[in-house]
Amino acid sequence: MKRTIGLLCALLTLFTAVLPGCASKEGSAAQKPSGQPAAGSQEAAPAQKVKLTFLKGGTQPMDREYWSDYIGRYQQEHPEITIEYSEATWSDFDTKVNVALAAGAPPDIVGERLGGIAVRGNAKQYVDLNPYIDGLPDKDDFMPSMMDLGNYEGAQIAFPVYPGPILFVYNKEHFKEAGLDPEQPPETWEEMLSAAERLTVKEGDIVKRAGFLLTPDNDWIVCPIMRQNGVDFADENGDPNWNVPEMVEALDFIKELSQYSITVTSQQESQTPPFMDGTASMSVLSPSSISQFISEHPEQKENIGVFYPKKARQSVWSGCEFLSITTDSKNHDAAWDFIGQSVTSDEMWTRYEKANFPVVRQSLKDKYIDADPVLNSAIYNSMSIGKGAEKTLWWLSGLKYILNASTEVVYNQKTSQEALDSNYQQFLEAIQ
Amino acid sequence: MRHEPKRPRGRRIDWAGYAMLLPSYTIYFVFTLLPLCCTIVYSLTDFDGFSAMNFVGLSNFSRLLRDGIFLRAAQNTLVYALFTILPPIAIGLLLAVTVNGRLLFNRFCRAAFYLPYVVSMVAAATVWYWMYDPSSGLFNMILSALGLEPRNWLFEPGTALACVIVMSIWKIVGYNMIIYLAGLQSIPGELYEAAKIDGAGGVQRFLKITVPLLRSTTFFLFVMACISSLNVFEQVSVMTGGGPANATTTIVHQIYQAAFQQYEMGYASAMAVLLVAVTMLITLLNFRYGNAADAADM
Repeated sequence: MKRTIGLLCALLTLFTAVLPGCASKEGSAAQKPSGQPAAGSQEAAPAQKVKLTFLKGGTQPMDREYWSDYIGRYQQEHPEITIEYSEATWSDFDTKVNVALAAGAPPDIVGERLGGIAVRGNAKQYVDLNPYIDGLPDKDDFMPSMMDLGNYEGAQIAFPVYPGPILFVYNKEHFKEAGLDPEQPPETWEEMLSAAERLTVKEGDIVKRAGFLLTPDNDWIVCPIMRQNGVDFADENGDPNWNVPEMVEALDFIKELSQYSITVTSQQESQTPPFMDGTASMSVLSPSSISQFISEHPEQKENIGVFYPKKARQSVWSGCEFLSITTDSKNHDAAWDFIGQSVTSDEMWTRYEKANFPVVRQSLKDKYIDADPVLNSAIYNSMSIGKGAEKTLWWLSGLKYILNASTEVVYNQKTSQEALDSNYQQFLEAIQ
Repeated sequence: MRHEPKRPRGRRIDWAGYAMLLPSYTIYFVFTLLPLCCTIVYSLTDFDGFSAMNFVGLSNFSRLLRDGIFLRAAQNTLVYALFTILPPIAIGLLLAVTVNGRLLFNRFCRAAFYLPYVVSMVAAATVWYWMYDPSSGLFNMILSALGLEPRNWLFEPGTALACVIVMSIWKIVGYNMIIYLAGLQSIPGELYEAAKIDGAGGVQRFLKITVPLLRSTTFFLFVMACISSLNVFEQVSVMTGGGPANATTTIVHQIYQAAFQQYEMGYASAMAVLLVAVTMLITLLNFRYGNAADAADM
């Protein structure tokens, strides 16, 4: 009797363990876009409940507030649609998306970034939105340069919603304290070094206030500096091209500038930007970080200045955040409706007002600049001179070795030439 | 003399027994053996996690030997293991002997030493990260109060790994103490009394009685420490992210980055296979040469 009971318990345990794995994936082959879906159409009959999952990269509070608000309004207008919103820090974002895709449970909508376009596009993980976009009456109003960023080999796999120029900013009060003219920010590398030296506050060997916040593993700082010296990471064919003398000079400059910085990692910097708590006089910040800071400290609005350092040319980091629909999503049409409504003229302006997202519609450009001539002009200017991730399959691997070279130089482990040569060699082996 | 009943002709299969083993074996097969086999297969390919994989032979393994960052990670892992295997065992033993005696607040001390072990590693690493903060951390406040120069702790390549090691030792020591405490209970008190009568001092009793009779416990802790030290990841990920300048990156940290952030699942699998092979080798060596602790002749 006991053996029978034990046998039954064992079989029950096994059955329970196996049962979740037998859950069907119904609908996975039946929900692909049929070809020419109309914008705003919904595949489900109005009465059928649809649940969309939306995973966004970045954890800025203002962004979260805006998207939560938009989702709330969208759900009110579409009671049959429920949207589950979640975020991931950029350092964890790729991991979360990869794991979700590998597990067969991808989010319907992904808030992707420029660095992921090539890899996701190559793996056909995002839907081509061109059939949906063709149905938009004002599709020509979107900035071609921005739309091009989300295009991979002819497929518009990502819709730009948040151009992300990263501005070089400085604290005018600190400039005054250091005897510098707050209306004359540095324009050249030499001026940057000189200003950083005067702005730095030290206690012994520890830098308490950075003249210029330089984190050697932050691509927002390191890559623009390299581009300012004329480095193009990819040639016209998209092949890697960064083992050049200009890169060595840029690494030397980064090394010099780093002595005026406090020591933080890029991860820590993204959580609490030192510029905002007064421990850095010059730094780089995103428009939403600036807006967040000004909203919390309105008295600081006039204290923040923007500058454009230059060596061979001006350059800033200018990425973009997009909205994409995963190929394995079961709700393409509903997902597009959500995206489509978020890029209307009215909603785009609302997004600017609530979260300071720069606009991607040409018709809104003048209104945008008039709203805040100083800051918004700076943002628009940065978008025109800026460049983000290279849209190539090798970019993520290349960036790892570029930042590694920068880190090795800053921490005196290698000379600039040694760091560049060794990392470039390892990079070539990695992509082969 | 008891006679075993004769077995009937034809094997009698104990279906009930096999059925009771089936769930655990199924779980082991699905969640351990199968992923292990998949990892070995992936390590021979250029799998990126999504696309079709192409067989590349041993090129992932040969790349490991030329990858400066991986070699640095391997070096860091070995240094970390060196300082987180023996010292915590020694400290745990000393603590166990101390709290095994008649002390005031004995039970409180045991709980206090063990508490770090039950705290989540992520939570503990976060707290230690704050304590190491150069601007407002506890350790620099103490140094400043003593008139000493503050340090950058986690942000200096020369001290970052040591900081992680100290944190890890603090966390592990309580567990070792508890295991040794259990071992100490099995040592007969008469041995200590006899030794006392013979004039042996405290240190002699410790070295000649306690340590030899705890050999099996020490062997167990040593094997477990070897395995867990080689797999260090959480505290590195939380406290330093592998930096500064790869000063704290470890093999598992590199596996994580390659697999989930750089879309190099094949390469990451090669690292994982190498790590498993090294861990198995060390464990086998431990069992071959270290496990001479059958019941001592008392």
